[in-house]
Amino acid sequence: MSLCEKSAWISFMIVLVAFGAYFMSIGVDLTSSMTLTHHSTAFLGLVGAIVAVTTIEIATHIAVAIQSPAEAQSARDEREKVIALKATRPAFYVFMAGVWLALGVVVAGGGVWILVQATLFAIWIAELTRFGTEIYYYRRGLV
Amino acid sequence: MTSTVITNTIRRLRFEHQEMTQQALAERVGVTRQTINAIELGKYSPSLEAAFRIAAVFAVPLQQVFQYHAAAAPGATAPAHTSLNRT
Repeated sequence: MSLCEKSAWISFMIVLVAFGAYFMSIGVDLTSSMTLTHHSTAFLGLVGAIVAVTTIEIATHIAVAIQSPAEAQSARDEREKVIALKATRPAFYVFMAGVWLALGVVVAGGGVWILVQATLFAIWIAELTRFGTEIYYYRRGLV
Repeated sequence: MTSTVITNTIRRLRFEHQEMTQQALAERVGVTRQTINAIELGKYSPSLEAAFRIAAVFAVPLQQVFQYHAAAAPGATAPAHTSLNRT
C-alpha cells in the first residue's frame, strides 16, 4: 500500500469517527429545542472535533512517514495525482447537493444555526466521498 | 477488476533485464512501485511520457512494451491500426 493510499485510509477513518461523533450529538440536540446552552455545547464539540482531527492526522501521518521516509519525501506521481483529481469530482457534486439542501432547510424555516450545521454536514459527507473515492480507485484501479 | 485494451510486457522485460525489481524500475521511471504494479496488472494506463520512460529503461521501442488492441475496445470497428504502428 502506497503512502498516499495509507493517507486516504487514515483521513477517512479519522474524519468519519471524529465528525461522526459530533453530528450524532447534533442530531440528539435537534430532537429537543435548541437553546443557547446547546449552541455553546455544540460549538465546543465542533472545536473539539477539529482539534482532534488535526492532532490525530498530524500524529498518524508522521508515524506513517517515518516508516517509509523515501516515499514521504517524494512528490505524488502521475497516478496518485489522477486519483486525487478524479476523487474531487464526486465530492464536489455531493457538496453542492448538500449546500442546496441546506439552503432549502433555511427556506423551509430553519435558522442560521441549522444552516451552519447543514453546511458542515455537507462538507463532512463531501470529504468522506473524496477519501472514499480515492480508496476505491487505489483498490480497483484507474481503467 | 476491469481489464484494459492496452496490454504490456513489462513483467517479461523486467525478467529479461536481470529480474529488475518493480522498485528499481519505478525509481528509474520516476513513479512509485505501486504505480508500476498497477501498470503491469492493467489497472492503470500510464501517461505517454511515463510509457516512453519505461521503454527507454529497457532500451526498446514503445510498441514492444505496450500493445493496443483496438478490436477489443468497446465500439471499435476499425482493424487494429494505431498511430503507434505507423512508420
